[in-house]
Amino acid sequence: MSETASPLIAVDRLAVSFGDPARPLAAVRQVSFTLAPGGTLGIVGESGSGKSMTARALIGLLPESARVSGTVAFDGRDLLANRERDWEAVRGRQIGMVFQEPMTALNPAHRIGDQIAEGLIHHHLLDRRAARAEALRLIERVGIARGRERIDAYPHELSGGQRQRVMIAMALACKPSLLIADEPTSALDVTIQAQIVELLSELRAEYGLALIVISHDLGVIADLTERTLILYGGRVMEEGGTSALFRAPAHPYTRGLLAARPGRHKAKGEHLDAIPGNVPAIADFPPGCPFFGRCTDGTERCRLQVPPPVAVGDSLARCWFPQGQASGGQA
Amino acid sequence: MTALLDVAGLTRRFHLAHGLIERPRILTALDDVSFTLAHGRSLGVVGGSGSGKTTLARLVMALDKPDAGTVRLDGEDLNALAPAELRRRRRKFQMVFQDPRGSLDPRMRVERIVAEPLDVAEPGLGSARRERVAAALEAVGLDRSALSLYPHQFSGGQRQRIAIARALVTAPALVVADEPVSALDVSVQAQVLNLMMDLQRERGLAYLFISHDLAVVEHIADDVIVMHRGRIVEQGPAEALFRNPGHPYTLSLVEAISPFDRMPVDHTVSPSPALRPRPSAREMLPSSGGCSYAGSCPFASGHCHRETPSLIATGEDRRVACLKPLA
Ligand SMILES: Nc1ncnc2c1ncn2[C@@H]1O[C@H](COP(=O)(O)OP(=O)(O)OP(=O)(O)O)[C@@H](O)[C@H]1O
Ligand SMILES: Nc1ncnc2c1ncn2[C@@H]1O[C@H](COP(=O)(O)OP(=O)(O)O)[C@@H](O)[C@H]1O
Ligand code: SF4
Ligand code: SF4
Ligand SMILES: [Mg+2]
Ligand SMILES: [Mg+2]
Repeated sequence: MSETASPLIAVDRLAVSFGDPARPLAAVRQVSFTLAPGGTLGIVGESGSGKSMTARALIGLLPESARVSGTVAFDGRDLLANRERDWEAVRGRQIGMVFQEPMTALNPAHRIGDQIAEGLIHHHLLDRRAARAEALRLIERVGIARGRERIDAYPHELSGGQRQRVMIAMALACKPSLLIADEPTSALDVTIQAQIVELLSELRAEYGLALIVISHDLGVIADLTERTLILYGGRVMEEGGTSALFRAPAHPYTRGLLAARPGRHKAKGEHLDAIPGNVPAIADFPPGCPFFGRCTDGTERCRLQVPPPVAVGDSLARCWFPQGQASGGQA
Repeated sequence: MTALLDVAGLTRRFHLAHGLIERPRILTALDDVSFTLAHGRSLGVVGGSGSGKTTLARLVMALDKPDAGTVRLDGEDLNALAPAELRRRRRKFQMVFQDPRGSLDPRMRVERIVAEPLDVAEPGLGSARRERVAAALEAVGLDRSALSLYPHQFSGGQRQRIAIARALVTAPALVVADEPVSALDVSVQAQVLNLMMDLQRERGLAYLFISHDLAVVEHIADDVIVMHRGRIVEQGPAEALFRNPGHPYTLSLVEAISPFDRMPVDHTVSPSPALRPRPSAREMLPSSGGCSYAGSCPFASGHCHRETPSLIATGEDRRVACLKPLA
């Protein structure tokens, strides 16, 4: 077993861009993080922040038009140097992924049992018969009731929650050491969400999995992860231990996300602390801090210069003016 | 005073044609649902996926016909009106749909999208039409330059504002909102919720507000109904109902909220994991006969599998459909 000192995955200055190389549209910029074997990491941010592009870069599933740079060291190898053939050995086998839209990620024409068994057969881990038995075990393990009756169902015959369970079973079939779950609960209703969160946390312990959970739902991240990256405009805004980061957010963007939820801090019917404005299109981010323009603390310096990471408590915040200037709280 | 909206005994069944061999099944998507909503108030509707929320919304909007029961608006039975009459009445009640991408026709300019309900309820407005549309856009914080643009030229939050402008353009008394912020990021959710609350105060709107997000419903709604398998299982003032659920299903919804969302914004206290009820990681199966929740209910006894509980008063303004209500 490896020491926590040697990470399972080390992402260094990952960048993903699109369009004309002379005027690139940067979807992910200089994202770095490490994850120990069995560790958990949350990636949070509004839609368009670059969460899915980051995740897809880790398993070589970026759109064809994307350009990627940086390094992704996994088990000592740089995955970004992979050719498509090399990815085959990693994807599904060493890194499993649960996608944002289960309906598009599942093949509508194939029975779910066959889809779960496929990876096991493809990677020569089990023969057809044993793979089917394992698929049934997985279907039952991920909590689908009456698995024997469901193993030959097609995806459209299942509910949203059941499809997500099938996705998790597929991702786990080859016992990967890392599972990436992109918005695993966003399409589900609350009670089903809670069941899926509980399932992921059980499976993580059982399989000794490292887990990267991407969500815009802060509750899901708080429930599942030890560390969190806050992403905005393709950049890491803040990172740190999840509970410390949520308890004492240093970055104005993190504070904005936390304060926007209704809750006991607001009287009923009182105005919520919305973050003003919208996420701009990639081309419209300022050259400096991406949050400039929506941030109530922004200055000219913020607009022009990318802030360096600053340690605040146990977190690292990329902000010229972290903490202090309380913006949330009063309406 | 008559209630603005009076729903009584509303029932809707769907016939499911399921393969050739299986006998046709009837699914009761809405089962004997009754409630009232007063002018200027908000009624939240919560419940799991498939519990009948959207079916209820469509019936209230007279977009679908009930198999039994009535929907009365200001005392008038909507299903008894002649089609032309109903079209004119639509001025008074409008709807905002869940997905701002799906609910706005991508080929239409914003002006036509927002004017649609006006064209139905008050045709022949002439030049006043454009002014009414521009005023509705301004009320939701959009510039009148939006009139000539297409939906794809707006962000998700802006598209939801357009959908709200469309609902407001006829100056309705009731707005039915089916998951109006579910497809939006938290930051933008807060903007849209603020807007909806402002409009309610300014115009005395009543909302039938459907959401699976309990924190949002608790913030917005005066009263709440909890749906399970097409029936109301609990009904009461939002605060009392969420703090002190009377039905085991309501309790399960409240417990499914992440501790994170139960905490105040400073998140300084978090409940110890040992004290927190853990949700099951497994799927629950429906029961047959008796209480529709008996298959999943931790408090179920043999009795519950035989007798179907009806919605009865357990306190002032509170009704619970459980043989052994918790509150
Ligand atoms: N046109 C239809 N034909 C057949 N069944 C239908 C139809 N419309 C709805 N149903 C069924 O009625 C039940 C209630 O559906 P409804 O859309 O009202 O649920 P909901 O509470 O809005 O769920 P969600 O939270 O997923 O939006 C479901 O079982 C659904 O599959
Ligand atoms: N194929 C593509 N071509 C150009 N831009 C893209 C493409 N795919 C994604 N993007 C852009 O990259 C940014 C990040 O996208 P994504 O990672 O999907 O965000 P998130 O998952 O955080 O919502 C967005 O601005 C998105 O529009
Ligand atoms: S760097 Fe400036 S604009 Fe960016 S978050 Fe910090 S204060 Fe706001
Ligand atoms: S009637 Fe029985 S099974 Fe139904 S909710 Fe009440 S205690 Fe549970
Ligand atoms: Mg995404
Ligand atoms: Mg619905």
